[in-house]
Amino acid sequence: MKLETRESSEFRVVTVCEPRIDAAVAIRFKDRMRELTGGSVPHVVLDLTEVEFVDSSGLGAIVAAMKQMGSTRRLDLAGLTPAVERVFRLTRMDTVFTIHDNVAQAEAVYAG
Amino acid sequence: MTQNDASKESGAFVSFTHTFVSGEQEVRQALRRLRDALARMKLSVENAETAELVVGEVLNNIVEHAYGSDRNGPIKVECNRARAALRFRITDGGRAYEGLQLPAGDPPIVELPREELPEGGFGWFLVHSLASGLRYARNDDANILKFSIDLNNLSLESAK
Repeated sequence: MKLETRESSEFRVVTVCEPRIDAAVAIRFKDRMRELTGGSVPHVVLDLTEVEFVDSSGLGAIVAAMKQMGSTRRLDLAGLTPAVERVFRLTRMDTVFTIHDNVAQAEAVYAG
Repeated sequence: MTQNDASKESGAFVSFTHTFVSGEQEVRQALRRLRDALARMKLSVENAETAELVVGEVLNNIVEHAYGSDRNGPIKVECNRARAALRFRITDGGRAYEGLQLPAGDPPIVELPREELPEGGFGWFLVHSLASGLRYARNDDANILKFSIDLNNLSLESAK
């Protein structure tokens, strides 16, 4: 499960370098997210631009990743492809996350 | 495992059949083959994505619940295209669904404090939302699940 991180000026970007977050990798994704968002990073943006497919397991793992950051830290999403956006919309989980078109838009929104 | 697909020259009906053994990677591969077959059926991207999502949820459920730790159980996916729908029949030899009924798949509740948000139970909701004519039968130690994916926006399908 390949995830990459970099620091933007306003938040940490975690990029999912995989085409699918599904039942085959959901637990690994959740564990990797715990490693990469641990500590006190206050704001993370999860870049899903490369992700073409998220199933119910993948959705649950993304929700779990947000929950394991606790209630005072932010996890935003960016770059949802149409199939992924539809899963969030049908389950109404698009109301739970702040969703950006892309990381650049997130940077613009949160710039000082 | 065996895979066979046949298409009639009229183009009005195309079918796909794939049998494989239970497992998460095997489900991924089965969905890849399904995607290829749906592309040959000239479906729109959205219709193909809908089919893959629903079939994937059903298959993952079979792997996790019907077969559980049994990694040798066979699963068969049959798909037939009618003009405005894909008709699926998915068969497995695992445990019967509880109460011989499909889970209801209630809509997830999202108006909750973060720490109470659900992390599961979305799968059957997605299936019920996107599939029609969902029917389950138990026959001689086999589960048979049938459903249709109604094809939307047929005019968007590729003309070639």
